[in-house]
Amino acid sequence: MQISDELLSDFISEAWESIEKIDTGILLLEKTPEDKKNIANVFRAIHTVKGSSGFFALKRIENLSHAAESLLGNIREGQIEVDTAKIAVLLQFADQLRALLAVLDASKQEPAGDDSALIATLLAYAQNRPLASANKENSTVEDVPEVQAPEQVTEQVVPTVVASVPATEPNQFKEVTAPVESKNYEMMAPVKVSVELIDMLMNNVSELVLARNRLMPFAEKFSDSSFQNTVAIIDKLTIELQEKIIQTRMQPIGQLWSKIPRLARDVAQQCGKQIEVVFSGEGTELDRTLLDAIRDPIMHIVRNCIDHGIEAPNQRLLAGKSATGIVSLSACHENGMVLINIHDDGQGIDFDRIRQRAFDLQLLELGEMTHVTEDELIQFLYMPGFSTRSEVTQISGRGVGMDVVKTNVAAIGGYIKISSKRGDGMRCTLRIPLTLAIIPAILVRAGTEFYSIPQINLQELVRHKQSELGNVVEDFHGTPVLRLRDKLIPLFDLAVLVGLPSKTLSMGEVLTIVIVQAAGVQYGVVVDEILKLQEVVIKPLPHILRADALFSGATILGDGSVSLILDMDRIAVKTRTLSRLRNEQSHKAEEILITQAPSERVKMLLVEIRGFGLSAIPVNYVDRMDKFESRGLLRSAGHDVMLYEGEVVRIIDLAGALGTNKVKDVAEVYEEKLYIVIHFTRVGPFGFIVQSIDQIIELPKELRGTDLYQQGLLGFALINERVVNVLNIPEILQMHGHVQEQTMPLF
Amino acid sequence: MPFLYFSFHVDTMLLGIPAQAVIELTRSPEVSRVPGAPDHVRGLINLRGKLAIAIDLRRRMGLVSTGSELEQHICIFLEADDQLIGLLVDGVNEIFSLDGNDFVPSPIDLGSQNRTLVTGAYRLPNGLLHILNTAHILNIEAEKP
Repeated sequence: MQISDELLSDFISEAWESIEKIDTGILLLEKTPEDKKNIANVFRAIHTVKGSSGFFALKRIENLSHAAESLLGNIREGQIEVDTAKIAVLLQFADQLRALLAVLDASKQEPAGDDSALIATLLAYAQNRPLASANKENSTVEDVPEVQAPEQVTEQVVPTVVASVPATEPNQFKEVTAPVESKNYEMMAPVKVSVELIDMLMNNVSELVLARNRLMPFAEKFSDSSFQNTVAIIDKLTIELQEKIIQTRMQPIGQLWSKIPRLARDVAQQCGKQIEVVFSGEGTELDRTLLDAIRDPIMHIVRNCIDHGIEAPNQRLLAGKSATGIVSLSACHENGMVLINIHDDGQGIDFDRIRQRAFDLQLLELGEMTHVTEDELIQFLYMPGFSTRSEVTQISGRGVGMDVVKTNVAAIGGYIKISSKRGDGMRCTLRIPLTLAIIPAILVRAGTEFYSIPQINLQELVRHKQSELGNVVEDFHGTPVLRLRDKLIPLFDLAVLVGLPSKTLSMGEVLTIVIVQAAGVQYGVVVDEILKLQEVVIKPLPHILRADALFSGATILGDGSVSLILDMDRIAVKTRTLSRLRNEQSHKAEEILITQAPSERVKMLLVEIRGFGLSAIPVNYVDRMDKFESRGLLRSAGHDVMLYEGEVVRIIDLAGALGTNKVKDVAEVYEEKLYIVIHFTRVGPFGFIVQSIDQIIELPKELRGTDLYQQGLLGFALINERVVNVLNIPEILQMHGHVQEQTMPLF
Repeated sequence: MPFLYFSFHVDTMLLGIPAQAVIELTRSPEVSRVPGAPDHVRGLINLRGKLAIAIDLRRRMGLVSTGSELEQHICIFLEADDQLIGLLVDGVNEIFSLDGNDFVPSPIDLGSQNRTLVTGAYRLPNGLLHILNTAHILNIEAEKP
């Protein structure tokens, strides 16, 4: 549907141009009937309309044009003479064509109706037999046309029409012109302008805006009212001009949609899948350059959906779905951005596979594998070279993919989010600015340099005095954190991020903090000053500066200087995920901290420990939970051990470890079934025996009774007026000979 | 047929690029540093709404810095590789009209860093005019052995 719609609009605008040519040509024909070139031009214009209308099955226009073409053809051949009557009927044809086109333009449909009268007249004139054979004076030349004229046409039409001419003609006219004023349409005939010219205009306007910005301070400085008025007018005109130019560049996203069915078909065939692509919101407009910029990313995502997401037909049938997979694309405007949704109803993202792959690439440690969230796993997809595909296909699996998509989208100030539910396919949401990468951003200062932070990431601005109660910057395992409304927010010094000397914090000093949300985490950036919120035009960074940079682009400030736009996602990843890539132990504590920072609560597994009561194990230390037969326990080198998936697991009986009742033989105390919580450490897996496993709950990080020291215990928390002991797993491990290379986080 | 070369100097080295490559000259433009950029990239310059990469030619050539980087206060704008470049040099000299026959391809070993950057030199009455290949100003990777 979209394809023909788009082509149809092209046809309509082309036809308007043709009508202009036909009109002027006919008038010229009247004045200079011998001008062969002019006749040829008119003939060609009519022929073009006829040809294209035939393609669109616009029968009325086609038949009319065909008749007019016959008449003009005979004039061209010199078979008939031009006279006022013929000019009149040709003009009548042009008017009728115009009227039909007006309706077509408005409703995208050719109006119903009958033009046989006009057609008959045209054909009659083509035979030089105006208004049937009534006129005797023309009979003299009658033998001439008979040589070439298509016999059947004249014979069929002429006799039947004569009577109906006066009756039908006025009716038709009324019918086609009624819905619209045909004059309007002539005025709206589009002007073809080259894209380069518009791009140049856009550039000039951007320049003008900057020049205006430089002018404004002068007006304030000099209190000359007429000067101020002039500047105000320039300001107003500049804004209008900018808006209009932006409008010129807006294009419906349907243009991009129309390219997709073909791509989908090809990809689907290559991987033997059945696909249906569904579109909505094709009328959503966005800037032409942005449309260009998102073309490849969207194509890539659709390719991914079909290749990775949608299952093979037989697999789909087994899963109770229809054999044909559906990929749906939608677009709409939301909060000054264009929101594009791509969804497939395939198998969804295989998180286990990402987890495994991340582990294989040493991006995740064994202990992290169970508690890494799906959002965090999705972040791995954006990393260069991360592909879960084992074999490289023509379509995907080369590992160049989502990282490039993300970079491209970020380069135009956009934002990408992937989510997935098992069995419900994958959903990919793109947020793209409406216009040529103009985004609102706040300007901040670090030292003497100015940087821009996109507003889309902005959550709040905080001025924080170190000595204030409640909000305190603390040192948490080497990373400064801000406690804001009981949330722990990791802080990064912008100066350090951009390679300037860091500030030394002293008591009483006021910190200016920009709190952002990016790549699924919340963090704060300490800046020297927040200047203002402004609209900035994103300019892509030169290629050689793009690799590994913390910036999504640059912008030119009002004073003409260049300010880099911080890529908050990349900073979040760089300070966290990428440090995993390097596998630097020293970053470990920081990573875990950031992972948990968004919530002031910690997830814990509730267990019952014999003789010790309800206890909580931080989920960081829970990698597996399982039920075992107690006779599976072995004694080795004085320890209880068991075999679990081919590994020897050291067993710690928590009841014994916490000293309530020291037991010699675990197997004797417990029933036949044991509950075991397994934690993988660098020296091997440890299994904690518990009496029963309850559930995972969230507990506040603030514990009670922390100053009453008890070995293996961090403190306690209250849940529904029950006391829960929170275990100090690192200490318990230490009691059992697990030597630590470094301090481990408590939770 | 003579070629026109625009000449300039860094330290005592006289360098030239095809005159038609030069877009314009500016004195002491404002350069915004780009953290994490290669050593020889001084930052970005706004040339009437377009971004130019400021190249410290002294560092790019691997010349030992005399410590007075402020000397590089003339910026030559040119376009190469679809990218606007601002070459920071110590000073500009004259425009030479030279005959291609006098061109000597790489007469001296300029070291690996300049292997592709300097294509050769013209013998002038009072020294050599080294010709830069503008397409290789940004491309430092190509010169790694």
